[in-house]
Amino acid sequence: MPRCPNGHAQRLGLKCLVCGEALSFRDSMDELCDLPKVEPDYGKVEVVAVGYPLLSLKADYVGEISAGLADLKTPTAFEVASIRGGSWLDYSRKHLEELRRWMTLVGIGKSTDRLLVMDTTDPLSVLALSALPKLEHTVVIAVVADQDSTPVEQNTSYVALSLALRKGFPIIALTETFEGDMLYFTEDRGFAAGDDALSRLLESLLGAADDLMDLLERDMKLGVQVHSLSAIVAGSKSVYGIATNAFMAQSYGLSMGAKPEECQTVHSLVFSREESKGEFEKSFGVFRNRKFKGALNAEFRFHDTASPLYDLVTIYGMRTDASLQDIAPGYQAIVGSMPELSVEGAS
Amino acid sequence: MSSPPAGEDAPEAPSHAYRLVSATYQNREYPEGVLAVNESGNEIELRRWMGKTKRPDIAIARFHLEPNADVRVEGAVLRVSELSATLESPGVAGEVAELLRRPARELETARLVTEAEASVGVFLQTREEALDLLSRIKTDPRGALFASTAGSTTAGAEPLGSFYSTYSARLAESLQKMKASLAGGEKGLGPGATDMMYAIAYTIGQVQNALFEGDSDLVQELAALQELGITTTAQELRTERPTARLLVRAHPVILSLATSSRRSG
Repeated sequence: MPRCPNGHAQRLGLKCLVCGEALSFRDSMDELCDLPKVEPDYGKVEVVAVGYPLLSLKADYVGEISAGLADLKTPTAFEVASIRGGSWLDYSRKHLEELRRWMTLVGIGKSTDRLLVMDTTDPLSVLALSALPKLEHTVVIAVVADQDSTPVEQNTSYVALSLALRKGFPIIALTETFEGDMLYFTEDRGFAAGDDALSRLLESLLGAADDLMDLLERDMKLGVQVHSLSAIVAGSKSVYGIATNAFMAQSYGLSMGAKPEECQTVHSLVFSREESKGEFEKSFGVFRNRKFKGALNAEFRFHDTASPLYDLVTIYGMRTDASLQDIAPGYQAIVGSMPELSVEGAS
Repeated sequence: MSSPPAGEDAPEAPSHAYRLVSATYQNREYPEGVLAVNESGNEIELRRWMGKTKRPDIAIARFHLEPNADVRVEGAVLRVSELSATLESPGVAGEVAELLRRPARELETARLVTEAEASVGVFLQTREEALDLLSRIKTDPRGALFASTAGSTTAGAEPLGSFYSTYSARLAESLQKMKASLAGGEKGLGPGATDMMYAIAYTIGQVQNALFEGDSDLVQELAALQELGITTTAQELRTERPTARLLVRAHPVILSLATSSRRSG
């Protein structure tokens, strides 16, 4: 701060307010080189969507990784030119370093929680998972290949899932068939299918990100890393009757086939009016005792909403290899002819 | 002589008159007369005595001197352009020469002030740019850091850390250049104008800080600027990039201090 010859410091003005002497500014200029420290606000939840350029999500940050006509990088998009006939390895070789750099620049990993929404049959999913560092509070919502998928898709999906597992991310897996069949009726927007339906489902999960992370991280400690899911979106008493019926009905539409006795954990997230909380909580207890008695853990989480319609999302913890066993034959078939497309070939 | 067209300023009237012992102008000799020079030192009028009362009422020549005109004094003889004038004494010749050298000195002063302001401007505008980006980083870190470091950050480098180190280096470099420029120009500008330049630079820096913090009513900063001869308003300070505007407004203050320092020096 400028000082007068008598040593009095003063931020502004030409003369010292104490003694009236002229202030000297020459020796104070260096302090202007010190820039103030800021604490950037990266928000609570960030979403990185891979292979889903049309998802419509509300989060503090939504970044998209996709293939298109040309390379394009913005704070919210990492788009690469499609490689003709390109495998996940071609995309990784070409774009891994620049994707890592982009992720650093746009602060992937800086929000408290993360949802990685990826089509694991898309070669970019392997690229994205290779580029990501190990991150806490991160869940992968993975659309995975199934028995109807091609061996190439199964190979890509297998490698992506293996990477996600290796990096310690909890996974909620939805098969391609499940995703393709998703159809939800919503009060405000009518029927939602495809990407719209996925967006609608993710909207509920994003609204309960804290609870979702809590449940999945607890499961991780129990050794449960892979999950299946079932959901009722915009449910009502007139359609399902009592809440127990809703729990039972939705459990027949799991996102990745698993028998109830194979489920190691079961957690339900309910989004409804406060007055329904007791009924749903009680019904969850009945549901758990009826179908998942052997589960290691079962938790119920309720979120108050204003809508007369409710959403019910149940997450089922499964064996880690459950997500891989159906697609292993396709993976092996590809690796048999192209050994470089093995999991070991991915970062 | 014809009058200037309406709307144009009339030439400044010669205000300093010196008795000529003799003069030669464009190879013609004139015994006795008067040499008149205007206050700015760029207009010369040569007059001849008239009649027995020796009234100086016939102008032989009136011409405009370029600021870079070569003015030489040899004893009582003053040589400039096509004029060679013998004045009453070497002292008087020296005084006239000083007056005629004023435009060149003022041009040099203006150049020094412009150079000093440019170096201060680079430093302060770099700082303004950094603070503007930091303001954006607070609310939109992803967009701001992507925009500011997209071309420079290497993989693995923390973007905010890169931002600070890049701007710290740029600020330190531009401050060093500014100090060197002001030190180099101080002899010509005078210590008063140089001190004022530092005071203005520091005060504008404080205005930048207050704008960055955003919670100040800027009353103290406005008063400090006023004390420096820079009049503005809080609203004006809050419009985009105020530093350049403040420096433009500071220019007459610095120039005036530097010019009077040279005249008195």
